[in-house]
Amino acid sequence: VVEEEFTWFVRRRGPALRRTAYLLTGDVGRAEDLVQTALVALWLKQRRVAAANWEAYVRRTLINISTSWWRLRSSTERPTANLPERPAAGWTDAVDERVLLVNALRQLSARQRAAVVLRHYEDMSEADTARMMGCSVGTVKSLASRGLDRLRQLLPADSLTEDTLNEELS
Amino acid sequence: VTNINELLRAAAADLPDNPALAEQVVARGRRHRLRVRAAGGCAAVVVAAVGGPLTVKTLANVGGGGIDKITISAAPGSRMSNPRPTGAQNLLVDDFVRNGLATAWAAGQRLQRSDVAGTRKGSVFYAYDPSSAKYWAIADFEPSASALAKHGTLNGGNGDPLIQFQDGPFIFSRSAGGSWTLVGDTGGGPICPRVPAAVIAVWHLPRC
Repeated sequence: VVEEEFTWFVRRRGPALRRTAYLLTGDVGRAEDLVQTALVALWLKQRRVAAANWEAYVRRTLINISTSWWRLRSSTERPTANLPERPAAGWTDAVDERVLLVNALRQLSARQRAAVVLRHYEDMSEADTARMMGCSVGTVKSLASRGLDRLRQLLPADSLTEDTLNEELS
Repeated sequence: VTNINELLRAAAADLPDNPALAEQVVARGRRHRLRVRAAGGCAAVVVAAVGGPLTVKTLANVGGGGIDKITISAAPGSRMSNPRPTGAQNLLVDDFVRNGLATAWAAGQRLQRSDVAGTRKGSVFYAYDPSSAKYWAIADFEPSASALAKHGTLNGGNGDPLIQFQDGPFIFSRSAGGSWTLVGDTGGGPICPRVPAAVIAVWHLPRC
């Protein structure tokens, strides 16, 4: 019965978890691996974690694993300060913006990226983000602020509204 | 000009769907559990058989199509068929072992399994002793929240089944491939009268 419930949970919430994982990793393959690793961790503990807490458990696992993967990756890959190729503006501007954003997210540190994704994609409060990341509210503010500041440097000047980019600084 | 929230949602929506995610996760989970069980249940046998190849004799499907049981036999001429007794081996405790101990203890104490939250952190020791050809373990247990709600605290008085949680550490043994059996409790006393000395030595616990 628990396994049926678990399968139903993955079918219902899996797509949303995969999208979060995609923003946390900036790579389709890594996102798939990340979300499956987090869900397998839950599957192994499904009887010990109350069903009401499954999603929070998986989301926290996503954050923790993506941070540890980034530390591992940082010893083998070297992110550059500037995006290597910026496509020229054209009729595919909307697609270009999304590709640029994902590439820019990959330039952030794992914790900055997690703070930006949780605050601005998941629409979580600063307090909830802090609980999810296991840090203080002040740290979340700092990480999100620096993350947005870095995005502003990496993205074309007219890509994002100033209101959004400034709100974390206020 | 776009709001960051909208742009993040648009970027995330580009991810192609994976309708087989649930099946892939369950399959990966079963493979992981199989590896853990194989490592926990056969570690001592594999160590004893070094020098001779192993043959997987049977793979049995138990429940839901997941592979749950492996029988390993020795290839002809290997040392596994007549393993030389060596010293006891301290083994890694995993969730499978903890759960097996909790289940055996609950049955031995005539408690519901749901009354036992699990083993107490740091209390579980697990080893294989070739001289007795048995696995040995000691553990203490924690009552579940539902048991506490049902029966009150550990000091609830006479007739309180939770009083049994205080008699540890509890001693268990099992043969290879068998289930854990509760050998007995210690009431906080020494474990040496019932646990082989070689096992106590690898656990680095006080000798008698």
